[in-house]
Amino acid sequence: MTLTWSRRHTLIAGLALIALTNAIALGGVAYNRSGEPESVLKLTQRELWQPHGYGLDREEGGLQLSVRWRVLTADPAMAFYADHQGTPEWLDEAKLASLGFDVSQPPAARRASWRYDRQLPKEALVVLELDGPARQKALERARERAAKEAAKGAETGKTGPGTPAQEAAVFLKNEETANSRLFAVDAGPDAQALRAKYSDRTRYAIVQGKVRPYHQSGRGKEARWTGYIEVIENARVNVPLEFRKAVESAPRSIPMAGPTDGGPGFEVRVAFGKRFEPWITAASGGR
Amino acid sequence: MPEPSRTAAQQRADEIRVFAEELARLEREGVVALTPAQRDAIAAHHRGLLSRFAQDFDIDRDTRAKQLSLGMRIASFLGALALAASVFFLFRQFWDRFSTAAQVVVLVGAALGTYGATLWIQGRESSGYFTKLAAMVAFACFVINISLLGQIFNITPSDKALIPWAAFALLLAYTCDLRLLLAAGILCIIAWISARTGTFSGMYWLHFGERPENFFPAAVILFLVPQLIPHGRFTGFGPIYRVFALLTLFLPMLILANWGQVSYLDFEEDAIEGIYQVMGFALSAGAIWLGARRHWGEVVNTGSVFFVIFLYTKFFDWWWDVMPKYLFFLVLGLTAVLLLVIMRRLRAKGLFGGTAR
Repeated sequence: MTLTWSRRHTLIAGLALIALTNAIALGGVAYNRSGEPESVLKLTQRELWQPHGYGLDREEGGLQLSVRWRVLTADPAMAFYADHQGTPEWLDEAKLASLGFDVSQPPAARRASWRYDRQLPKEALVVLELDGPARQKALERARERAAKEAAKGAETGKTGPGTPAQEAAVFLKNEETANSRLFAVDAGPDAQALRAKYSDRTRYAIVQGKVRPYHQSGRGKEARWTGYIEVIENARVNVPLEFRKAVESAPRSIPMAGPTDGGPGFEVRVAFGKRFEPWITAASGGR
Repeated sequence: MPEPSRTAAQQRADEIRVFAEELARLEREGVVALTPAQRDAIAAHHRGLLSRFAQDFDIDRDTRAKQLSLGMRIASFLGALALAASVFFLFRQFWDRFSTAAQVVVLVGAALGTYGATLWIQGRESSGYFTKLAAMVAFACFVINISLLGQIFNITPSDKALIPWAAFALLLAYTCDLRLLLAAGILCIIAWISARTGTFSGMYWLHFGERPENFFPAAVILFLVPQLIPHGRFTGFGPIYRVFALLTLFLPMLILANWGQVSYLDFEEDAIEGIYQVMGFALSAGAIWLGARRHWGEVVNTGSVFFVIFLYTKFFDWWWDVMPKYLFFLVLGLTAVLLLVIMRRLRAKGLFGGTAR
């Protein structure tokens, strides 16, 4: 028996391919959103930014909000950047090993360092904490720095615009009213273990991300293995038509520390589902 | 599927034209003398063939028509790209005016509608120019369909999307005899196989490009496809598979021959680069030999280009800093002359001879 491929077969094959692909994609969405969400965070304009469109992006329809997450870093040079996404304090050798990275070689060995630097990112589940201990710690550090710089300024008489004392005061003000309160506080390969450790589903969201290791060394520093969160997946969340008004009627960004205290212009409830993919379930505000 | 393809019909028509010219020349020179009955029989047979080809495939009957046809092919190619881009930007610009349900309906409807339209146009057009335009738009709509679903529902990016895209491009390519979409499908296959190869080593799939060895399995598979699956009915498909296979092999090899640190191999950087330099020379020379044996012009040409590139990059490493520039380029020129002489001698001795396939 021989089969002949007719135009009818072609039509059916193509239509079936399109239908099946869409069904699989939408089935995955339905699965992600089925049952109780894995976590639900109430984020504000402090944590969700409306990206500015440049070039071709100016024509982009639809609205997506960028999730503005950050980490607490041990690096004093980076400690006072509002959006620092570099090396987290908690991402040490033991944590890297638990994520599947090879940290067996001592960092002093040049060959080992070379091999280590060649390690590529791995997928990991990252815990995002909203307005928790990490944010309190960041706030505390900002207060300490502001007090220290103010004391120094008082001694030297340098307290005007552009001085360290004034910069530290502005940073503290922003930390209190405008900077993101969403911190990446942990990572691991097992969602259940992470959820057992961070049980509050309205404060801790588990999301997919990628961690990249690197070999940190420098003059006067002890060589060690460390890493950083290269990316949080789905860090741009689509805003459906029904919630756009609340978001778009707010000013594009929160006014940074200045004579007027703006505060966040909108509040958005973001749910994370079984596949850790987010979606917006409610939006309010707009000034 | 059409039998034979438009390209095959055009090739046969060209051969008929050349044959008729050569026969007339031979008759004028008195080499052969056909009887009127024989001449009429040949002419009638050729007329019948050309007439059928013209009706079924809208072929070019003479050189002038062929030149015009080339212009139409270029216009069709550029038009297809422009229309696909137009659809993409249309979706981008007006996307925010629809609810989520309407967006899904528009996306799925556009993919289904343009696919149906492509088959409808193909059934009514013999030249293939408009079919190519429609097929490119259909492919663009399907790619946009899946991409924007991912954006609307914040779906984590996955290499699995490459499978239906490749399948759809190949379906259109084989149905409508379109080499452009075959190339698109092959690129999707290369990306998917390479991503899968990368994930076997534990890397995240999007980083497959950071280890060029990930591309090698795709190169082998692509090279074998036209060997294992006859492509006689699809003129030009076999060479496209082979060229992409060689590019997928030699480009990563060229990178590894110069930047050994991106390799999977756990050797010293110099050793890795040395290994891939030797492999680059050996395999590109092998490609020239195999291409000549099998009468695969595209394999000979691709092998030759990469052999010269591998050679010149070595010359650059060795001599760019130490030689005066006039001498460096003189050496390059003389090397090219030497290669020409060697290949000419080999050709004259019949060392590249073999049975045509």
